[in-house]
Amino acid sequence: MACIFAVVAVSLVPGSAAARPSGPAAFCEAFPEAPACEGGAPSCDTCHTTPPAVNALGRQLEDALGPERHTWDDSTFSTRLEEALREIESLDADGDGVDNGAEIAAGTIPSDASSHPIAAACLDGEDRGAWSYDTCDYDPRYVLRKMQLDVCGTLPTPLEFADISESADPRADIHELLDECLETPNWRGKDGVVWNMANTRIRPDAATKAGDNAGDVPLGDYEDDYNLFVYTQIDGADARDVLTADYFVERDDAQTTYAPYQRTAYEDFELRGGEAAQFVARNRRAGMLTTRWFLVNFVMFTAIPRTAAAQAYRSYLGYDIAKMEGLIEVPAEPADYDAKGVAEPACATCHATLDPLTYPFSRYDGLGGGDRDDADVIPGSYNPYRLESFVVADGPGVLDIPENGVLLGQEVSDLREWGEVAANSDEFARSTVLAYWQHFLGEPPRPDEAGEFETLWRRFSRQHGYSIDAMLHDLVMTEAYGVP
Amino acid sequence: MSLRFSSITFVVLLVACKDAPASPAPEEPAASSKPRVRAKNGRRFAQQLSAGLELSEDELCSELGLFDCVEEAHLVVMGGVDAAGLGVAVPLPVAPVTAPIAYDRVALSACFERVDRDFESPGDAAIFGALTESDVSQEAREGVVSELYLRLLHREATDFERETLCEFFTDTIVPHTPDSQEAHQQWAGLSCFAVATSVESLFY
Repeated sequence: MACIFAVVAVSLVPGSAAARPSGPAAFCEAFPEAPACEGGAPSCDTCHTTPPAVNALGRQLEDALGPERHTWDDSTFSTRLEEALREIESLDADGDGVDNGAEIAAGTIPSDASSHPIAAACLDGEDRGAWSYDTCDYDPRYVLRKMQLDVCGTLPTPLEFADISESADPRADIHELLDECLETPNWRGKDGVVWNMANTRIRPDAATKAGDNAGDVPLGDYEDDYNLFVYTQIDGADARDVLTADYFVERDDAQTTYAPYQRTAYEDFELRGGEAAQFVARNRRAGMLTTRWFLVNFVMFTAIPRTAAAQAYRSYLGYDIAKMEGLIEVPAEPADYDAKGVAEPACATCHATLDPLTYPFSRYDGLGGGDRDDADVIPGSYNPYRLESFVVADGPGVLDIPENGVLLGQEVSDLREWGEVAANSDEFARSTVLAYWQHFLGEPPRPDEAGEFETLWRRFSRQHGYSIDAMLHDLVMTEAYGVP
Repeated sequence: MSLRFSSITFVVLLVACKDAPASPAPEEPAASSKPRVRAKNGRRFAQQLSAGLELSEDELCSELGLFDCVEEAHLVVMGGVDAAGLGVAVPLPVAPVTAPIAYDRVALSACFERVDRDFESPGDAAIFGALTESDVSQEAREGVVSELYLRLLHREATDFERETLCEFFTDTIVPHTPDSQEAHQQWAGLSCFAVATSVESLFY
């Protein structure tokens, strides 16, 4: 996916000819039926290690293209690349006995000898009963062991293993066990699997934690964020609440249960004190985007908190603007309201997307900033007048910053609508499911798994009501997970 | 512990030169078309050892007697995270070069802790009680091997595996450790270590 958007970047930014991001498109022209081209374009590691360095398949392509390739323009390169790909179809880049064309057609990795199409023994009718695991087909014994480790954190007992081997309906047994494991502290508890999935979204820091086990400089309690995140991922909850919730969540470690609550800012202040209280009013909350910890850490002291928007874009939609992902240019942007020079051509490539993405965040205070005394600022709160205090530092243009913005090419009137649009997007569904896929399989989907992965995240949003539990029941039944 | 480490080195070199036992290796399945093998992180490994060896997780291993091996000293190396403290939000994508050492240390410490407890209090022994007798039979050693596989890998040992570890005792341990009880202690700990650090135990 990164390569597609790199094409946009290269076309806008003059300079380096060392990279050829037209490669994925040329690959799919040469092999339109390849599984890697299903639902998108193949990743750069089809031919590269770290671009522009090449892997075994890439080396064969370089030989076929010849040394003149460095002199070609992009159009000529794409055409010649397509021809070269067909030339090397009959070669075997990884020496596994299967030619490149067969591997590409099968969706296996032509530069990796350990990846190859299904073994002949699986097609010869060989008796597989004596095998420890059936490497030709979905094996419930294999799934039992993996799933119990992935979710419960324990090994199945010999009795459980024997039971599933003899079961009349082993898949039903798998579903039943999954439900049990989803209740364990290993899965849903503090510092459990789901909890740790939130680490990159929340970016906790013990030194600035408030509440229990407070740090030296308490700025907010990130456990509020973890509790909210976990709550939206368990018990069949609607995972979209991670961006739309207008409530907070309390945790009971003894029972590993989570319960939502509503308190006004004043009530929370009375209960937990000024260092931990949540100050955003209920009608201005947008889940994880408006927690005190998020605002304090990512808005901080800025008028246009681009870091906050980029963090949200990356964490919940899977687009890392720093890698030039998710760039969707907005006309007449960036307006550069705060006179930071982002309208310069080299900067505008990203800021044409990032700035309109950020405007809805601009009415939320982090720690303060501008010409205010920080002691007069309510940290992590909604303040529609905050930009007035940034005129001296950032210029009068800040007064023109709109509260409405643009997300995924769609106008949004404020941050709540930002959260709604994001949560209902394909990008959110895909990114959410990808995180669990990577937990269960240890890596992103392989080329021949692209179709199965797409089915998984589409069912998550269109049939399962964004329930993580329901999606996991689908995931453990996939070939990707269940075939040894 | 240093004596045990030098014992291990010696034993590994000798075992490498040993002939195969009488029983054949188990039948191999067809090669997987998409092999995907993952290492157990430290926490899962510790849970497995704790349950199998009947030790609490904080009794498995500590460095200098102060720092828990899995949750503190080797946390990140063994695939753990500490987002708030160390800023390590996700597990390392590639196991560092010291990871095998860390897993070995945890397994060795845990196994010999179980051995020490069982030999000190044979009446309360969990696994190795049969080895504390004055005259230990081949059947008793085979029973211990079976017990180790059941406890650590949750399956029956094959004949091949039982024979391999029993011949390890007679062909390798005994010639170098004439005292019977000490030989059985060494063998018990190292057999436990061998099973606990096998590929099947460390990966899934």
